[in-house]
Amino acid sequence: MKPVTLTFIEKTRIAPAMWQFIFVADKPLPPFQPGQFFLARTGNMFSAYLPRPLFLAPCDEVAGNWPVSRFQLTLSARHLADRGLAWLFSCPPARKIDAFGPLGCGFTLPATTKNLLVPIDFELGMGVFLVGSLFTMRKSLNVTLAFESKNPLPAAIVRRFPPHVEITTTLTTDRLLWPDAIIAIGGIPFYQRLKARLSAVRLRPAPGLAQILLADAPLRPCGVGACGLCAVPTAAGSRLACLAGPVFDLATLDLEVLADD
Amino acid sequence: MIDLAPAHKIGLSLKSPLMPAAGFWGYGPNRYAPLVSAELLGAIVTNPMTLRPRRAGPSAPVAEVDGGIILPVDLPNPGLKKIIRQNRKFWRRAPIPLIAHLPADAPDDLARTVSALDALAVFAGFELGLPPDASPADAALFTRTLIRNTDLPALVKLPFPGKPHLAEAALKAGAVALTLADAPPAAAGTTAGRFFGGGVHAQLLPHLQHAAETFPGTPIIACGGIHTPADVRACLQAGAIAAQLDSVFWANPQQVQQILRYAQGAKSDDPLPSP
Repeated sequence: MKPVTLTFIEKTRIAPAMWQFIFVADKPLPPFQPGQFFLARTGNMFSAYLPRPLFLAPCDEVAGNWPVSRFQLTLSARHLADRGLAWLFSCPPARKIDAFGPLGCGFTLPATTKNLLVPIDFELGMGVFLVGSLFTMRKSLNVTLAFESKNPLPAAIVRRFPPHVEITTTLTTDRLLWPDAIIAIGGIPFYQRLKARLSAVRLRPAPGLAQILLADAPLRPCGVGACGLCAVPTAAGSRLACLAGPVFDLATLDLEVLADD
Repeated sequence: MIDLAPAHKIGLSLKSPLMPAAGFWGYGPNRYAPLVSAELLGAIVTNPMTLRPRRAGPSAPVAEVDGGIILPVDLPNPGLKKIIRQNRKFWRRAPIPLIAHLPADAPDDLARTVSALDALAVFAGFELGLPPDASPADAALFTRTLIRNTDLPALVKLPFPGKPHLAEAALKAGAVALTLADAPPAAAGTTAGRFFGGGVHAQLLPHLQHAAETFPGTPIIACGGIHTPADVRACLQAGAIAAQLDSVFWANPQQVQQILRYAQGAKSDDPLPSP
């Protein structure tokens, strides 16, 4: 974890209710995993909110070429309900934002992976370009991005992915049997549906098969493991989402308890 | 050096008057490194420890309001056994004194918790947290339970705003220092809990002054919304001997380092560093 100053460069609408933010760090950052987060100070001196977790990803043109100083973040309209992120939406270009990170544990892709399935809840926003750095440089990897979306995917987003990445909006039984690794980004109901469908076709999904990002996990207030308030139930007992996560093994997380919370 | 327990046979000497408040640091290891240097703290006050595990209540959102946050205070912790197992190694080589924070639980549980922690011989003192609805009889009972099970100094953290009748009962029962105060009760929307933030500081000051006048000679530790070096100075001028930092750790850990550096050489008349 290190302090970093992010300069907000621009905000671009990439879908009807989705924006891509571009930031430049004051210094190039060494590699970190997608799903690890930075805590950013938002608000001003009279409305100092708790630091917000930002799931940054290297910009397309620099993905894989660490160290990186140019990062992207996608947010959807639903994030406007969050006071801190709403402040981010209102930032003028060149605004400097104090942050520190990376924190937590992100997605990891074993070197032996051949077939990767990436189910993403498109409406969540933040998953759209988050994990690209895991596969854009590995052309031998068979990748399928499965976006769950109520609306057609914008062509501009589809074009952003390299040709070896298959993009679909349907998650068929075949596709659930095909991968040897799954990384998913969505909310708890999305993961419950995914787990149910995986269980239906694979009977008992092997531990380690599917990693999920608790994007809506309460990573605050402290975000560093000091307050103990972000504990989530797992098969191995209670774990802090900000330290042991926010990426967890789908097989070990108790989604029912999380859904009740 | 300051002594939080000058009248106590063992004492509790700190090289800095600043320490984290319970709930804001963890149980030992520095989670804020490298933003905050642990060696600049006078002591580490641990997160609350109870004999049995406690989980945060369901749907316990943090409510952000102007000036701070409202947090349901369920005192979640994994229970004494697990806390000891996870932290004993660090505690043994801790670079600064450790103060164990113990909520006023059931007296029997509190006694067992104190005995177990005292036997480890890693703590320099105990801080007892009294609940908002504690009576003077409760304050006396829990303080006596604490000091019967340890020879170490007993600090008592009072509910906001530092109720004098509770302080008096705790001191009579053997407490050596007072922490003023726990966070005030608050509610917003569906969240009910306690209010943490810079807004608490101004409310705290007159109560600090009153406590210092009412209990002369008793070390008083200020706690509540201390977010700047100026806040520390105001607390010391109001009669506190030390201060606990709380929500500033969450809101702006970088600022904590600035406060700690200031306190290293701080005298109440020193000019303040620019923000």
